[in-house]
Amino acid sequence: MIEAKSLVKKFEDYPALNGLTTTIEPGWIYGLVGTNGSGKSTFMRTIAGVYQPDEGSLQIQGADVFENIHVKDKVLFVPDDMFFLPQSTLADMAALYQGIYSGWSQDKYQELVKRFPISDKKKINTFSKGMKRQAAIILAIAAQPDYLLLDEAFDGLDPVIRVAVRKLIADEVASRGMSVLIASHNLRELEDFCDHIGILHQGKLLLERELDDLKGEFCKVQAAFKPMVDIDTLKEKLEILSIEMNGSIVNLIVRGSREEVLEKINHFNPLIADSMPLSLEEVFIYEMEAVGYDYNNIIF
Amino acid sequence: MITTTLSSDKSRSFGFYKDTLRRLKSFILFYGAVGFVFFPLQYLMGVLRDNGYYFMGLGEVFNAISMVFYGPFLCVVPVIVAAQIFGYMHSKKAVDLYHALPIRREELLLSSFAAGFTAILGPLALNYAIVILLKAVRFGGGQEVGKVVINFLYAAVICFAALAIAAFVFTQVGTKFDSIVITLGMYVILPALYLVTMLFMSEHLYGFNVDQSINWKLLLGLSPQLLFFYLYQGDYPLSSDPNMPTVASGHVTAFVWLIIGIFLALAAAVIYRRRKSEMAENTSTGGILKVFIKIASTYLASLLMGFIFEGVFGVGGDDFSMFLLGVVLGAVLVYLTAEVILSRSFKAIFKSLPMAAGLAVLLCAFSFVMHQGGFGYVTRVPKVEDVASVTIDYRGAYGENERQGGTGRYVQDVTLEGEEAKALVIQLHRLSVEEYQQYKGEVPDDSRYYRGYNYVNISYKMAGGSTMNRSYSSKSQGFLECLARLEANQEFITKTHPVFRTQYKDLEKVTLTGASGVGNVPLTFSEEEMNQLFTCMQEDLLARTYDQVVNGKPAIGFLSMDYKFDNRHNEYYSSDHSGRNQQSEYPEENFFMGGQLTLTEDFTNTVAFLKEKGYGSMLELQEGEVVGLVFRHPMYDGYNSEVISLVRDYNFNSYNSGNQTWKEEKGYVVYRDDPGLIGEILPKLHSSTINGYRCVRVDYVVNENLTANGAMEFPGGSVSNQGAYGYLAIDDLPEDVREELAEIDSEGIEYGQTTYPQVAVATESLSEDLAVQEE
Repeated sequence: MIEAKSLVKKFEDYPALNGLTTTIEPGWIYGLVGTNGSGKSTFMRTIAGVYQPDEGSLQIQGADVFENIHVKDKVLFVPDDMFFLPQSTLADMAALYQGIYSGWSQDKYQELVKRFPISDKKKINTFSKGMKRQAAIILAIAAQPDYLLLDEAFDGLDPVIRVAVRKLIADEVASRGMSVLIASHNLRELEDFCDHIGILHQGKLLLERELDDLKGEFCKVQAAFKPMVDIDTLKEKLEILSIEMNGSIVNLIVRGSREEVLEKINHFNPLIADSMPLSLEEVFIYEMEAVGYDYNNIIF
Repeated sequence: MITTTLSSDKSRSFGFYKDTLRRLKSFILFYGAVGFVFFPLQYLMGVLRDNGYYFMGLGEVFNAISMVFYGPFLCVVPVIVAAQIFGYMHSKKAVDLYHALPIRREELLLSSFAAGFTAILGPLALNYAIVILLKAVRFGGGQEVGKVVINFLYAAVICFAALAIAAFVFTQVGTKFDSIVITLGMYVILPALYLVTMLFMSEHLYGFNVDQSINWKLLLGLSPQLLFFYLYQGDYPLSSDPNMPTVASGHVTAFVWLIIGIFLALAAAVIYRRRKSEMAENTSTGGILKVFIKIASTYLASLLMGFIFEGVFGVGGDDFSMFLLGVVLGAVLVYLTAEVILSRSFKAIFKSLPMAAGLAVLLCAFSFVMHQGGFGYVTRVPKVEDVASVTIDYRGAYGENERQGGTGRYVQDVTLEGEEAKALVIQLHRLSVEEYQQYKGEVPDDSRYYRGYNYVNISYKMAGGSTMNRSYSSKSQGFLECLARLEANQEFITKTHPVFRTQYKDLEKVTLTGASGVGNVPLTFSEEEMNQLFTCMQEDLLARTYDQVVNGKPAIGFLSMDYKFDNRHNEYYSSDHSGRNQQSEYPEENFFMGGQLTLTEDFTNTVAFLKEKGYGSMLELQEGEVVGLVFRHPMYDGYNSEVISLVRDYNFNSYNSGNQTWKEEKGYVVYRDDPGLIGEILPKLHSSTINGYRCVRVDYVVNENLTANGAMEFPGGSVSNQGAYGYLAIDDLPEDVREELAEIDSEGIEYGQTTYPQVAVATESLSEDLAVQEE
C-alpha cells in the first residue's frame, strides 16, 4: 500500500505538491490525471524515492520510501523522459538491473525480449522513442516490482504494442498483485485500463474514485421540451454542470446518477429524454471547470 | 535475515561497482595507452639509446618528455573520470534512474568512486610495473626499484586525492560544467592564493621577502598535484635553494593528502546523502564552494591586475594609486564575469554589482593597510634581549668559500648569537626602517659608480621560539657602515673565515702572492709552522678594527689557501652517473674549497711571521717593479668603488684579462707609465675603497709589454704582466688623467664625496644598543 499524508514538495518557493493525501492499495491500477504542472510527475518521483518530501509523509507498506532500499527494491519508476546508461544496450541495462533489483527475473526478461520487436544487442541510443519505451517496459516488468510507476506509459507506442503492454501489465497485476500507478494525459486510454482514478490539481488531489463510481457520478442528458421548460427551475432541481440549448433540445451535464437525473427530468414532461455516462475526459474537463480551470479562460 | 540483508546490500554495491567499471572500459584502455606512450615507452626509448641515457626524478624514471606530459596528464585524468562517474548527478533524466535504484546514496557514490579510482589505478600500476621490469632487467633490482615503487605510490595518492576533491565538488554543484570548472579551480586555488599573497606582500610590505618567507613545504602541500614536485625532484634537488623540501618531507605531505582524500570522499558521501535530486541542471546551486571560488578568483585577479597597472602605468611615486586602480577594476570585472559564467545569465551582473563593489572596497582597504606598513610589520624592530640568534646572508670578504656538507651548496649565511653581533644586525635593521620612513623606499643612490653588495636577508630566532624574517636593500652609507662593523665583529669573523674553521690537515697548499700581484709562491711550511701561521692570521683578524675594514691600507701581499677535500666531494660534480649516487654518503659537516687573506701592514703578526720565514721581500714593491698604472673608467666592467666595496676585499690576485686590448684612445682606461707619477700614486692606493669617496680602480702593470703604436696588448690568457690593483679616490687623480677619463663617456667623472644620503638618524643609531665601544 502506498500511503501519502499531507505530502508537500517544494521547488524553491513553488509547491509542486501541496498537502496531497491518498492511499493506493495493492493490486490497483491507478490512473493519475491532472492539469499541466499539477504535480503528477513530482508525486511519482517522490514515491520512487527520487525526491524527498519537504513535509508530510510517504510510506509504502508502512515504511518511509526515501533512502529505504528495501522499499525501493519493490518500486520501479519509468519516467516520461527515459534515461539509459550511455552507449548501453538493453542487455547492458538488464545486467545493471539484475545486480540491483532482488526480484529480477532473467527468465521473464528473456521471454519479453523474444516477444517484443527490439534487439537487446543494439545500442539503445539508436532506438526510436517507441522502441525506447518498449525497452523501458521490458526492464520494468523483468524487475518484477510490487509497485510499477509509469509516467506516460504508452507515449510513442504503436497501437499493437500498446495493447500488448496493457495486457502484459494486466497479467502482472492479476498474477502477482502488482500495483500500477499510471500518469497520463491520454484519458481515453486510462479509462480502458485503470480501475481507480485520481485527479490532481495544484498539488492536491481534487478527487479520487473507482473509475466506475466516478463516471457514475455524472451523466449526460439530452431532452426535448415543448414548450421549453424554464431553465432556472431546471437548475433548482438538478445540479447542472453544463447546459446547451438547441431549439427545443436541451443538452445537460448533470451531477448525479442516471436514474436520479432521469427521474427529475421526467417531472418536466419532456418529449424525449435520454442519458449516458460521461467519458473520463469529460469528467475531467467539467471538474476542472468547477475549480476555475476552464478552457474558456484560455482560448483567445 | 539481517545477514542476508547486509549481504544483499553489499552485493548491490559490488554489482554497481562492477557495472560502473565495465562502462569505463573504453576509458581505461585509452588512458592506459596514453600513459604508456608518455611513460614506459619513454623509459624504454631512453634505455635503448646507444649514446647513453639520462633519467630524472624519484627512482630516475622520467625523461624530459615524460616530465612535461605525464605529470600534467595524470593531473587531469581524475577530473575526466569524475565527469564520467559522477556526471549523472547533474542530469535530471539520469537522476530519475540512479536515485530510484534500491541502493543507498552513500553506497552509490562510494561504489562509483571506487570504480573510478580502480579505472585510474589499474593502468597506472601496469605502466609502472612495466617500468620497474625494464629497470630491473637493465640495471638490476634493489634500492632504485624501491624508489620507483614509492614514485608509483605518490602518483596513486595524487590521483586519489584529486578524485576525492572532484567527488566533493560534484556532490555540491548543480551542473557538470560548473563541477569541472570548480574542481580544476580547487586544484590550483590554494597555491595560487598563497603565492600571489606572498608576491603582494613582497611588493608592498617593506622588509618582506618572498624567497625568505615562502614556506615551500606548505606551498607544495596545498594541492595534491604539487606532489609531482617530489616525484620530479627525486634524490637530486631541482633547485639549489636550501629551503626547498626534499623527498623525505614529501612523504609526510603525501600521507596527509591520503588522509585528506579519504576524508573528502567520505564527506562527499555524506553530502550526497543530503543532496536534493532537483539540484541537477540547476545553475544557481553550488553553495559555499561557488562563493569561495568566486571570491578567491576575484582576490587573485584583482591583485594581479594591480601589479599590471602598477607596472605599466605607475610613474614614480604614483605607483600605488595605479595599483589600487588595477585592484578595483580587476575585482569588479572578474567577480562579475565569474558570476555570469556560473549562472549562465547576464542578468546576474545587476544582482552581483553590490557584492563586486564590496569586494573591491575590501581589497583596496587590505592593499592600503599593507602598503602603509601592515599593522606595524614594517616598523617592528626587535630588541637584542628578545633575540636568541640572528642569521644573516652576508659573509663578508672572506666567508664565501664554505660549502654545505651533503649537498655541496655554497653556504650563504651565518648565524650569530653574541650580544654585539646581534646588536649590529639589529642596527642594520633599524637603519633600513628609518631610511624607508624618510625616503619611502626610494633611497637615493649613486648607481653609476656603484658595484657590490646591497641586499641582506635577516632571520631572527626569537627567545620565545618564533621566527622573524626581514629583507632589506640599500646603497646608503649607513647600510654599508653597518656591514663593515659586522666584518669587524669577532664572532662574525670566527664563523666565516676558514682559518678559524679548518686545520693543517685540511690544507692542500698555501700560496703567497707578492705586493706587485704577480708571482705565486707556495709556502713550504711544516705542520707546526702552518699552525703558527694560522694562529697569526687568527690574531690579526680578531684584532681588526672597523676603521681598518673601511680604510684598507695598500695591500702588500695575498695569502691563498687551497683545501683538499674528500674524493667523494669530487664525484658529486662529476658527470659520471654512478658518482651521483654517492651523495648519501657525504659527510654531514661543511667544508671549504678555499680561503684567502689580503695582507696589509695591519696584519702585524702574519707579516712578521712571513718576514721571519724569509718572504719579506715579496711583501714590498721593488724599485721599478711597477712600470705602469692603468686607471679604469668607473663604468668599466669592474669593481669600481663606492663605499659598499669597503666591506669586500676583492681578490687581490692577478686579474685575467683574457683577450682584452687596452687602447688609450678607445678603451675605458687611461694608461700612464711615468715613474714619478707611479711613485706618487702608489702610496695613495687602498686595498679597499674609501669610506664616503668615489674612487677608481688602478691596476699595476708589472712587466713591460709595449707595442709600436703605444698600445698595450696582453696575450690571450696571459697574466704575467698584469699585477695587482688598488683603489684611488677620484680627488687624488692627476688632473690630466681625470680629464681623459671624463672624455670616455658623456657623463664625465665626478669629484668628491658620494651623494649617498647621510642619514643622520642612522649614524647616531649606530652606537645605540651596542655594548662594545667603538675603537
